[in-house]
Amino acid sequence: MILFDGRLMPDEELEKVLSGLEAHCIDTVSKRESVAEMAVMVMNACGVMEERIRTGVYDDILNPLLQRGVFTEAQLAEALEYFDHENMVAKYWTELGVLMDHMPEYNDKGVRITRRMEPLGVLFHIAAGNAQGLPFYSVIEGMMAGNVNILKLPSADDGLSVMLLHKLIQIEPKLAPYVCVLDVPSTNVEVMKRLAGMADAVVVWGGDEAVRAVRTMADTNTQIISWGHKLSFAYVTEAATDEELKELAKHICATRQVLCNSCQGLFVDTQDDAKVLAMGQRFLQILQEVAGEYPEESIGVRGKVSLSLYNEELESKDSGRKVLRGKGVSVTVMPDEKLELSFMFKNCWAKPLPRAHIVKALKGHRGHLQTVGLLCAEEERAELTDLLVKAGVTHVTRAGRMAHTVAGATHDGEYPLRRYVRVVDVEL
Amino acid sequence: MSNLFWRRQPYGLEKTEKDFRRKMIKNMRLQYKNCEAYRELMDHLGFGLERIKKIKSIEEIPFLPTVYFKHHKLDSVPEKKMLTKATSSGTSGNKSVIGYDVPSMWRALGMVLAVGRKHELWSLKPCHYIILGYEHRGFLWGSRKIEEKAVAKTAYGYTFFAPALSRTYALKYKDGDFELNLEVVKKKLIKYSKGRIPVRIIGFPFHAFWLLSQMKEEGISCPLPEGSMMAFGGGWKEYYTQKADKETMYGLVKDVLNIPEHRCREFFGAVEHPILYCDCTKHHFHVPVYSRVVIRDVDTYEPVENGTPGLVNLMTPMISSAPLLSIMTDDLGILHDASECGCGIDSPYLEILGRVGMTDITTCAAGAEKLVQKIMMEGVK
Repeated sequence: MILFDGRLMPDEELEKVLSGLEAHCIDTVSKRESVAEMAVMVMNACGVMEERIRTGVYDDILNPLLQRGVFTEAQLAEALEYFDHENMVAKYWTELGVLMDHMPEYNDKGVRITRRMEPLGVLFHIAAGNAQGLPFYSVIEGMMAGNVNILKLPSADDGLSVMLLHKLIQIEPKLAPYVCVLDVPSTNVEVMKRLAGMADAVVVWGGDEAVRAVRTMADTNTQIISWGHKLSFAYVTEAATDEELKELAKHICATRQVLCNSCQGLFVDTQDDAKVLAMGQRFLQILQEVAGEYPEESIGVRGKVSLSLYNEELESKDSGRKVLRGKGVSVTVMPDEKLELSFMFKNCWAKPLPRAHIVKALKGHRGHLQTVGLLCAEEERAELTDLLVKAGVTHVTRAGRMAHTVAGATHDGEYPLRRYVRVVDVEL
Repeated sequence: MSNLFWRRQPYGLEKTEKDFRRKMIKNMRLQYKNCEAYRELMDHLGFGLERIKKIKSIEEIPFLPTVYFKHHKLDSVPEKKMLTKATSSGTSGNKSVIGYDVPSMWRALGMVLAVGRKHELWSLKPCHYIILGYEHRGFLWGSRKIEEKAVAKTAYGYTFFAPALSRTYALKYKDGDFELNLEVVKKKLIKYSKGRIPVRIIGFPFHAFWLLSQMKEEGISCPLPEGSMMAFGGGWKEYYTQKADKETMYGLVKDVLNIPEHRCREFFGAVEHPILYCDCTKHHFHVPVYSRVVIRDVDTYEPVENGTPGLVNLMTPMISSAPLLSIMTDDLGILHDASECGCGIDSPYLEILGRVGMTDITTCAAGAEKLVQKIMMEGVK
């Protein structure tokens, strides 16, 4: 499905849309509104949309998606928080408003210079499919900063983002020229290059590989703004309670460890391998109990995990790792202090990391660090938080709140809107 | 001479059950003795010589996942005894490298003869070959020094079923890289369609599909002389799990080349399980006597009944030079009873459902990553 200039079109129209897209972008950019006007328009439209979703106007579209398990009620409620008018204003104010308020006017030996904020121009979003509605959200941010947005849908997209953007444009038709959604086959290099060529910046949600590939695709004068691939983990001391571990287990089961802020494993505040093993065994019990309340993974996922665990067991001959298996869950106890991805889908690792090593061990991963769920005694919290932050972590939470994002939160420690604008000086 | 590998009939598992098990155990002892890495692994799993003695069923033999071969080199004979080497067609990073010695190749020859006979691959009538795949480098069995993709070997091997008048490759080796050469292929096809000499085409399904749809679109039709044949191999994983596409493909082959469906063949094999599977007249892969398939439960690894999906464990005692006796692929599959097919071949058949993994979800970044990895690959081309 294509969304172009406010109209939905079948994918067959791709070539036609592409041939006129660059001219359309240039035209829109030359006529565009100011950042502030755009932000107000977007925020108002989102407010109306949020209200409509709450009052059930879009139930016919959302209910089937809820039933199919595309997202849960809780996830929808959290998403709605984002688009709450008050929260969006707060976000705008935190990220851009403060800057705008301090845009000075200089007087350089009689010449007046004003400084103002302008959008980058055209953003090309390459969104990931792991979080529902993320492509939509990415475009909203781009528009709030006054940009024209071309969105390439992720291959596993379920149509939610196009639908939401279409509804938004129906609410505020002035936004129509600022959004173009394309469902380009992922193999279509030529089209991807063309799209990147039209953009002032490529916004890529993805890992190092993704970013590297976009670099080869985009022109040197095209900015690349990358979000994710991040790794998150729990830091656990001896003081961690069973309740806290249970909260962590719930988080692991609910997110299936596929999000950037999903816990991949437990770093235990010790140098003693026996203590790590004990923690691994303790957590396995809790994880297994909790997992029973969540749906079983598909046969394909279980097969994949199962092969990985089996291979890990073969490798354990030399690696010193120990796989603790439970029903549908596992904890692999590892002797090293390296941050890494787990096998995911309720399979985590446990590793030693005495607090004295935190900064040293994590520093090398600074580009990948994100959320840490801190399970410790209250009197340790300040000290450990400080160490984790110094190592490069951008979000420290309580046990079960790792994936809980508050409205107006940063992306990996940055304010996204600020990256979508530039500062311009003009002599009057 | 090994009976199992030099039988006239490549199917009928029941008659060979005992012989197969005996050879598997013999192969396991041999691997245990000659391959240090394998021995250590088996000891680690508590499967030492004493345990091997007690094997009652081949299902008890521990399997090695194919991914393990991508990170470890497991050889059971010295390098100099390896006649040839093959690599998996893995595009990203790691790949398996497997060496085959003379006795292994000898057994393979027996297998190729019987399978070729059963599926009417042998012919004394000379023909032209078109290989929609990589150009073969080196001589018949490849060169010891060149690690070649197994698919290139299979394709090259295929050109010996009937005397070759010529071989045209779609991917030609030039200055250290492969160059796609479809225009030449097209021209040759047009030329051959005017003659009387049969043409045999083998290749990746996606190359064939690409070429034939292009020709159809351009309105090119070149009915090939009688006796021509189309064979597919490699790349089936992504492609052939979709039945509709398979039918479209046979339709295309008929439309553009006038090769009827019964002259289309498909092969299946893996570097880690170099058994020649050829599809029957109903396009099913029946298990030949040289191989056994055990479908295992994804959680417990226990064998499941026919008709139930699970992990695909392939077994063969054919290879003496590496511990390939029991390998676990990263596919999900189903083993069907022979009676479900009805083609007359008396062996169950294997249906591959596709790669295990996250088919129902894109993990953080995986979506974008998959896309750009493809871009990178193609960009490099």
